[in-house]
Amino acid sequence: MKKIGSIVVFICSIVSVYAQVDFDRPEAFLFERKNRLLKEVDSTDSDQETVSTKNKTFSLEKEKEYKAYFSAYGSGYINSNAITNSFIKAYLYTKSYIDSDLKQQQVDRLKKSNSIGVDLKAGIYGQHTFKKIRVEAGLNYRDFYSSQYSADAYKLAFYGNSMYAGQTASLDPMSMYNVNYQTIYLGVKKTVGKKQNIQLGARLGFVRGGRLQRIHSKNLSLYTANDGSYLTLNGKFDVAYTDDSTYSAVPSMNGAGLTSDYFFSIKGKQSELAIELLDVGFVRWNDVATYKGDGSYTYDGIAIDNIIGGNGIVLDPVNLATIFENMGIHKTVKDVTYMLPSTVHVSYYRHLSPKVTITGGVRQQFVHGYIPKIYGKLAYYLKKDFVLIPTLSYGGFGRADVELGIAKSFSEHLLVSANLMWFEYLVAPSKTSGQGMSVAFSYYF
Amino acid sequence: MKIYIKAVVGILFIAGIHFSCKREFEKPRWDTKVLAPLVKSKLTIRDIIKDSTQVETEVDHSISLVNRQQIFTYTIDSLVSLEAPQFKRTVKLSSLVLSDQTITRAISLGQIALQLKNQGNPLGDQIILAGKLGFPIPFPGVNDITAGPISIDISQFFKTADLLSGQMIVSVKNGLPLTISNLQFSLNNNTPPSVITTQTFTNILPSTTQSKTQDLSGKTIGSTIDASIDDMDIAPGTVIIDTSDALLLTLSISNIKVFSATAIFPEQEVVNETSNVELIGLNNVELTETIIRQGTVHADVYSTAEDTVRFTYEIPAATKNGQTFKFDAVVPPAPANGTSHVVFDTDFSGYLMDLTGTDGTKYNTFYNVLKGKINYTGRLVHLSLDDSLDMTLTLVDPKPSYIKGYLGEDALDVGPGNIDVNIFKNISATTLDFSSAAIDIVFENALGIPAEATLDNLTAYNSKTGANVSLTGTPVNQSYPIAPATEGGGFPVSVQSTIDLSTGSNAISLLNILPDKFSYAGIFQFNPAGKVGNPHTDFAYSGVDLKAFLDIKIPLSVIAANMVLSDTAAFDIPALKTAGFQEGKFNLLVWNGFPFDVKVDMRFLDQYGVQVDSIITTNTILAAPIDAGGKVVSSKYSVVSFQLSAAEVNTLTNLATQVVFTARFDTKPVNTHVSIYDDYSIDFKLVGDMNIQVNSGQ
Repeated sequence: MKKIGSIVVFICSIVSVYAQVDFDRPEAFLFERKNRLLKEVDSTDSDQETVSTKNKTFSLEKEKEYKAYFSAYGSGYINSNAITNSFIKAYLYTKSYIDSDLKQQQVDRLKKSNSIGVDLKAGIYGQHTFKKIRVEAGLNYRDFYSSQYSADAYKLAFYGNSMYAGQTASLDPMSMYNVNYQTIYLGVKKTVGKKQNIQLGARLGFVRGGRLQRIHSKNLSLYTANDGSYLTLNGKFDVAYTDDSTYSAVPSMNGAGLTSDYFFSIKGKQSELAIELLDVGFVRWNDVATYKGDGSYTYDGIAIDNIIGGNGIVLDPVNLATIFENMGIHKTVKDVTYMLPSTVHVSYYRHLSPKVTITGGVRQQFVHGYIPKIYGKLAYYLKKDFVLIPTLSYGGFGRADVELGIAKSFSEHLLVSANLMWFEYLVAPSKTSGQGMSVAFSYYF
Repeated sequence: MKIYIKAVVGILFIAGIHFSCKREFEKPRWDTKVLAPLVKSKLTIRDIIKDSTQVETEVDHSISLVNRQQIFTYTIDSLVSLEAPQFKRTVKLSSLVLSDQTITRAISLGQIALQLKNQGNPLGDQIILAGKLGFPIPFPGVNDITAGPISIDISQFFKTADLLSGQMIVSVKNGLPLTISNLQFSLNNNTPPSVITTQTFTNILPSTTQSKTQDLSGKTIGSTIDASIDDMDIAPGTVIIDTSDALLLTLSISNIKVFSATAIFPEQEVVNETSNVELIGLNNVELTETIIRQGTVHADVYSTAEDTVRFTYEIPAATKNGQTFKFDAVVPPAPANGTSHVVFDTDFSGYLMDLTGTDGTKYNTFYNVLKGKINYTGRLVHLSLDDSLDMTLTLVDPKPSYIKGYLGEDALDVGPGNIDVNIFKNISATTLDFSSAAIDIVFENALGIPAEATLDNLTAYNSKTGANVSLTGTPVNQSYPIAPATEGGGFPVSVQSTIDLSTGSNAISLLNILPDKFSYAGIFQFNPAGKVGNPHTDFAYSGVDLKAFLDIKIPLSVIAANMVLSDTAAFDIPALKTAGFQEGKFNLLVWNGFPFDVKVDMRFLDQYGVQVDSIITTNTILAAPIDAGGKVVSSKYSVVSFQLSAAEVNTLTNLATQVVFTARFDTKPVNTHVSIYDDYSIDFKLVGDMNIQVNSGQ
């Protein structure tokens, strides 16, 4: 378990994540999206395939053909519009003491609505071509977390509620969604159209649900009595979680479901427009502990029947259930169904010259706190088998981010690629948010 | 601390962060300041006085302290014992009777002729020859014929018998064609040889019978008798001689009683006795009836008889479900010259036993019947009038469930003895003045016996202060009647008698020293008027007793100054152990509904009773105001504050196992008796304003 944890930490510490089939992953620039422009040629010289731009004509490299393709990948991502990289470092990596300055650093960046998200993925998959149809199968692991919270919520968590004596702390917005699941899937891709330039694909997978933790609320607030004699929680909320008695990177199975991915692209000689819809599915969770409330709930201490009676002063550890019960919020255990955090992604690239390809796109995840992420990439080919891909983006769980992709092919069969989002973490950790990395090793023949 | 972590942080606030941060590799820390209620509780007078039997609510809802301590109890088993003497009997066979028997033997003319021939008498050959002729011939007559001895087997009667009495009838039927003018014959016992009888018959005509009776008293007879014709004379005549013609000799024995015999005996009665048994150790108690709650009849039997002895023991006066107490037992045959031994136990519980004897005029007496017999078995056995049956019958551990009669005049010395009183166990006071109090001795008599009680001494002690006060005044050395219980529907109805020790005495002085012990001495007398006029109608049942109690009742209307109530309670707060408590101020918010000012201190003890820490408060929990009627109008709110450091909390959570509360009370207004009502309560809530270092891994 410790090894698994270490691996996850490692990935988590370097990560920016994409789905394993994202069109704009770095290795794609040496494979599916490889810049095939070779050299400028005379337009009359036409014994080889060419493509013409406004002013120039380029000969084209023959499109790569392969029978099979295998890939192993891992990726991680954490980003926030408020929490700094310094805080993330102290909280996640060094597990150190979070001092007043660090807490205040976050307060200075807090907004009315704040968000943080983590997406960890790892998997293997392979493709094989049968009569122009690519059949794909793979295994995928995912641990996804997102939350949206108010500035007061942060202060309550890291400063305590004493500062709110006689006041109401606003907990609106307040949401959280954490799912851990594993997928085994099978898919197909086929090229269609008169020009054979349209690619369609879909995958269907079985989901093994591991862990669910979910909070959904509306207009939530907490009032602390001036003398501390009671706390009152107001608003509507719904808390649900599977067995959380022990933490595990791969929890025992607590549910099952289905997931699917869909692809569409239209391709020209030097450009492509792609649309993908990922992780469209659900999990039916079993035996989910649920606390629901809509109204006003007061906690005024743990009742002891008679302190000088038979049992004396005996106060067992207080937990979520104890508090909720004290407030009159009772637990129910039932099976529930929740959708997986889905993603829609649109991207477009164009090869400008044999050394330069530009890409733009927008990605949206359908979870609270995520805003559309717009990005632009510039793929610069140092060699035809070695490309650097700097990226600028804005949105998601964070705001503006800088990334650097790198991909290298070896022996016309092996591809190694990575995408690094370390720049902000290294340069200005106390003023920036977001870090991550993806790595992939692929082999084709 | 967990309250804070989970309640404030984990749940209400960035729940998401803390959900996800349960991972073992994530344990960042940070400081927070938490203001939250920790525990709350409510105490009524019934919570403060743990023993609910010590609190009594009056009609006006005021509270009285009551305390009842048992002084003594007296049960049915204390009153009487149903011990009965052992019933021992050694019985011998009073008589041994043998059945009447008859045996017939024929002595033919041919047998006689052969004996004559053998004796050298020519008449023998002549008779044999004449017997072959088949026609009448003149028979000259013969004298002095002798014959025998001829053995007669009588083993079908007995092998041997020593006869006490009996008779033998000897009959002779003349089957010869001639008159026997004289017949003299004898019967002799074969072994040992002895003459049983010698008889003479004359003129026995043909086909006629003559009989003689012989007394057999004192005779010893074996299984073989020898019959001899000592002298027979046959008259002359002309007749056909037939050697098969014979004399028929019939022996009949009857009315045989033996001293001993080896015989097939008919049924013999061994014992049949009816006798009274009187219970012992009852002194002047005269019981007329009882129901047995428990007990066993134990029979121990030895027999020398070589035959099975069956006996029946019966107590006709003891009945259960309409059946008398009776049991049958079988004693197997003793070996030759030996003894057989058997033991029988029969449950005697549940029997109603009349104790007036066989004639209904006695007391403490029941009668029993013992019967024993030897059945006819068809087997040859040896019995003797020396054979004996030793029987011992014991009533084992009998206890009554009910007794009736005159139950005696027991006089009991009650005490000197001590009883502990814990009503003031945890209380001390500089000033404590009850507006009133009552001390009674209460008798709950479920025994149907009149009695009388006299209190010689009652002294209260406070072992902490050393103070003691003895009761003086009217109640001391005065006899008080204790009424008997009544009986209804087969059950006793207890009657309560009370001796008021408060009237005409200094009883309240005994209570003002907050006693923890009373000593007492007195006398208790049953049936003080004696038997005169007592129709033997006293009764007692098991399971219900005569009990005497010392009752104390103190209406909680009191003036108290510095009244200290201390108590010890278990202390275990694992909820704080895992929290990152740094330091904090704690406020005890109190809503006091009692008309007392209160100061509370807490001392914490480890498992060995050693103090490890304490919380001494300086603030006073103010008394609730009372109205003109003396009742609390509304609760009074007070705040009691105290500080705790991390080290102190660490000590409390790791070492303390008990907390000793010490509450000091002062009634308000001063010098005014204030009453306590059952709806008074004190509500409190402990609020922590704490510096907590959160460790998100916990």
